[in-house]
Amino acid sequence: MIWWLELSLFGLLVVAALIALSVRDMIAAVATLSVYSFLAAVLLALMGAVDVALTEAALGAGVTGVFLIGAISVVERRTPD
Amino acid sequence: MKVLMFEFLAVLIALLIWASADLPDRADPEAPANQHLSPDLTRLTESDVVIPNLVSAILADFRSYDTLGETFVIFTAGLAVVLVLQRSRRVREEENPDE
Amino acid sequence: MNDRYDSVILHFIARVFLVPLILVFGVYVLLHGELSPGGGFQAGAIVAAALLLVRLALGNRQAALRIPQGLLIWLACIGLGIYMFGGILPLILGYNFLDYAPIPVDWYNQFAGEARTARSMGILIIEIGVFFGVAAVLVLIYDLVAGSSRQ
Repeated sequence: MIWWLELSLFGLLVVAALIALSVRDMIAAVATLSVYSFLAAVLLALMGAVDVALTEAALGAGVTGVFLIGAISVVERRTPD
Repeated sequence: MKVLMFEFLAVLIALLIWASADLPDRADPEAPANQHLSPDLTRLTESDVVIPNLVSAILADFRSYDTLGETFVIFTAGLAVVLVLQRSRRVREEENPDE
Repeated sequence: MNDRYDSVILHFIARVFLVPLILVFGVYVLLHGELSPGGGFQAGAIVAAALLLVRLALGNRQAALRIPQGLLIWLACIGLGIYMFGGILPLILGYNFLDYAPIPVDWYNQFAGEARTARSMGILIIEIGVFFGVAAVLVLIYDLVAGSSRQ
């Protein structure tokens, strides 16, 4: 396996998670969470678990982001934290 | 508070990296997880369920009761969302009396 | 998010290119569930993502691909019913619950010209059931959540 590709993907995963935790705008947090899910799907596909990667890419990166955006449109967009 | 959170996360990451040194390699046939049940399932998939996708064979044939329960869980979640979020006809008429 | 976002490029790409592609890919993932990675759950999520893309790009009040709520609940029930049918059919034929060995496939093999075994036929049946359940429930949840944000 190409070890530097996996290592850089893991680094991007951690960076995306930290950005999603620290950003103030909740739409931006949802977008970063989708990036996190997609990177996780790529990592799972690299590990050989293609079924799990397909589920993660469709549900985690696609549908969950849409649901969270729908929930944000009901409540306040900016968080005080 | 945020500094405390990042310190806690750094400690957790260090702990996980230290623990992952003891794990077996990925896709190692000698690993304990691949010793107990996986050879039987692989052999049965080749002989009984003649399909190439091992994951589908396990999910939908050997463990189809689990998949049935999963479908029931998703269906129940949908019904619960309908019951919580659906606006009844009376509420809708109170909000828009001219409709 | 109930309003239509007026952008010609977004509408063209979503309606003409992306949504048909995702729908066809979802059906492909469903029907090749036992040959390639995929299955009912993934196919349902992919098809639901295509339907949600239409709702995001064109607004909730568009006419295309809008499914009434009662039909969605019925689709979820029908999916669960297909799954239970795949389980009870061997029970009627004298085998255990969800044991696909006695499912008749000869007529299907003659009709479609394939060499499908009874077990892969049973897997296909219950994956179609999971597909309808998952896709209908995901679209139903989005329609209710986005519909409740209407001020």
